[in-house]
Amino acid sequence: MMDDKQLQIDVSRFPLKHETFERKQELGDKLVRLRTVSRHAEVRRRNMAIAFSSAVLAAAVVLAAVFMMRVSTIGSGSTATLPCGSVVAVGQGGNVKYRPFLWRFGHRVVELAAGSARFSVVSGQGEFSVETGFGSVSVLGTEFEVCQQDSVTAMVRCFSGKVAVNVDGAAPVEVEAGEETVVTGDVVAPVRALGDNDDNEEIEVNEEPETIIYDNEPLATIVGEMEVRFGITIDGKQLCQGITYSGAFYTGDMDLTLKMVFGACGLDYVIEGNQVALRKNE
Amino acid sequence: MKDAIKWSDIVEGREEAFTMLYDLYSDLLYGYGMKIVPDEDVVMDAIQSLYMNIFEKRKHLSVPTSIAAYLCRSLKNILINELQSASVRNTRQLDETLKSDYDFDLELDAEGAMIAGENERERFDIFQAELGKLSHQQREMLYLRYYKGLEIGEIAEILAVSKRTVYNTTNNALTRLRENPVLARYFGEAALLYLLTIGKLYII
Repeated sequence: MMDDKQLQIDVSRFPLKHETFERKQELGDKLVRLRTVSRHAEVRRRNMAIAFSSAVLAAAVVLAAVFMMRVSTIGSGSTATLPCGSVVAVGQGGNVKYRPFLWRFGHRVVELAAGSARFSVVSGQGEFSVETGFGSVSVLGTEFEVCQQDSVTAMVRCFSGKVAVNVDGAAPVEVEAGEETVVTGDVVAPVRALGDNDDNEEIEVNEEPETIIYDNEPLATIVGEMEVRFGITIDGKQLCQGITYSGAFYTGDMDLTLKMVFGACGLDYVIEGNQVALRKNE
Repeated sequence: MKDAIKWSDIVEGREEAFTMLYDLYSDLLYGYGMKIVPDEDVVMDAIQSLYMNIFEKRKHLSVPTSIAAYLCRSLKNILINELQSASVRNTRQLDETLKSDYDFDLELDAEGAMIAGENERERFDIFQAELGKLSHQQREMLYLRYYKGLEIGEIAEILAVSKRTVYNTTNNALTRLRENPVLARYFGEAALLYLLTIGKLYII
């Protein structure tokens, strides 16, 4: 092959017809303008894409928030199956709420807003908690009932398995199958056996003959009930004037009832036979 | 052909890089394009499309081995598509002989050539005739190699053939030119150079 380099150099000395790009400047200027227009269009497209993405993201966040915050309610007298398969039966006047979205992540928490409800909890899916005004009841798998009188008074009954009653300011109290306890304020009464006439099926609040739940009842009235129920005489009734009591009254347990009622009302007492003498708490 | 442009500057959209890309290669593209479609408007539109495509798709383009080869091959594809488009033939009224294929005619510029005498005129005409007897691929390779100065590898990339094919085809073209007794004397060590300088090989 010939001397390519020399050939190329010499050829370049001879401009060729139609080889000279006479409109080069014209097209070059046009390309600059087109690129400028294209850049502006790119910026507009990018801004629109950002705005659109932001709007979509915001909408997604709002929808997700709405979905996540959606609350399901199980009303009075209803029975429902929760997402985990556990069953809740809400007593008359009761109200149970939960957030279905959170249950997808094992957050098995229901709120017993009022009244009573009985739970049959499926085990093996982590902790199941019932949050109430007095605290929470948490279980792993059991059947239990929470009867809430008000924000500070409730009864917890356990029919199978074991539950833990957690009240702020007090150590957790375990209630095993066949036991119950009453919560008054931050006091959790010692567990006791379920009443003989408890059929473990019905939810009956305030109709249990062995336990009376008072709500802001004058103490004088309760003292009168004590004298009738327990066959005792209580001295110092004048100290009861103006005092009300909210909480449990155990018709079958005088000592516990006196302790809870007078303890909650700030009164001390001394028992001598059938006589109970009241005095101010020092 | 040595690339003087950093392709990364093109990808980043630097205006000066695009200006340089145009300044350095538009003459090459114009001359090459005019051999495929001898219509200035069509070629200019094709060059415009090529540069704007590069600008708009720059972020998705891979780094070419040779910018010159990449541009020539891209322009050729655009022009071939234009030829295959019925709308181009109808609206621009191109010569009907220009169909999907192209002849890559190389024509000496007789009017512009400074011919000193009859002997030169004869050689000029003979060379023109012999060029016409070559295949269009031989003419295209001769043009890219000796007139545009592209490397063997760049020509192979443009024409989608091997380097060996480019070498052989180019060599065969020169051998064939030497077969003409008038041209034989000039196709020695620098015969083609002689013809080009004396006869002014004009390729249009």
